[in-house]
Amino acid sequence: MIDNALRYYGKIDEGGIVDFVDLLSGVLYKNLGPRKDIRKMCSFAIELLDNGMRYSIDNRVSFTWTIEKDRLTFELENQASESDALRLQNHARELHGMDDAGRRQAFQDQINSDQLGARGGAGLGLLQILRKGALSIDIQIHRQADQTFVCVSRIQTPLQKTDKP
Amino acid sequence: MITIVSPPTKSSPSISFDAESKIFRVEGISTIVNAVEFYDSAISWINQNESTLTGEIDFHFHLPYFNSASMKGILMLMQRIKQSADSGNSWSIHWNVEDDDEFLLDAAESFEETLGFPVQIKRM
Repeated sequence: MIDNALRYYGKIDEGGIVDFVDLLSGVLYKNLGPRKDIRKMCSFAIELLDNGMRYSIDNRVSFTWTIEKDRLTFELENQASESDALRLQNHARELHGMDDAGRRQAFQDQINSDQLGARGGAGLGLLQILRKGALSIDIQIHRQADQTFVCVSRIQTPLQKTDKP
Repeated sequence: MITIVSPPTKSSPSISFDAESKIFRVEGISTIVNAVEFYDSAISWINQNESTLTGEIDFHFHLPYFNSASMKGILMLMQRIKQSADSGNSWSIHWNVEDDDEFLLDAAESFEETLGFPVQIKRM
């Protein structure tokens, strides 16, 4: 049973991400009560939207959140170039293949690297989402008739009982 | 006198230095696209003013939300602080956390581990 859901389609920029976070944190607080992990959940949305902002070829995204009894799901859909879409999918597969120690090392390697991502990102977004306890990241890519790709990134995170702050 | 190193915007924190209290503050949300460039400007300000940053200088960070690109930029700034502390200056890093928040506590731990330098947690 869905307790709360929102879907947005349209342009996104760094200020728009702040608007989403304000709204999402308020909704989570209202639906779940005070918790120590509300910012962590919002940080997952920040990373997804940041990816969409950097890689969407038309600056538009479709962003959905769904709160169910025991889980929170974020879904981001955007158009991307073939190279960016394939890189995103490969990156997610690589991260899923790592254990905790591997992800920890990958984080240290990446944050200390002088190299930025293709669009100026740190290359840490998906890694941070998995390290911080998301159940899964599912990346689907679909080729369009105009040879662009649609990327659908789906994150699920458990809504475990937590100590109130 | 308070020097505004970088004024706040909707998606970037304010960066300022209070010469009287000797506190350098980074405060606000950081969801900027060019985060490394943004924090590099703060490092440039420190480089230009290091000779005047004498005595104990506290660097306070209060960033309720930030993207991972900002995390990299913040780390670069902290590495500059550590560099100065390693060369004998009494510079320290303070990380503000509200309500024992997991995201902010995890970030402090990651920064401290990566830097090999104390990140003092200040609970608000």
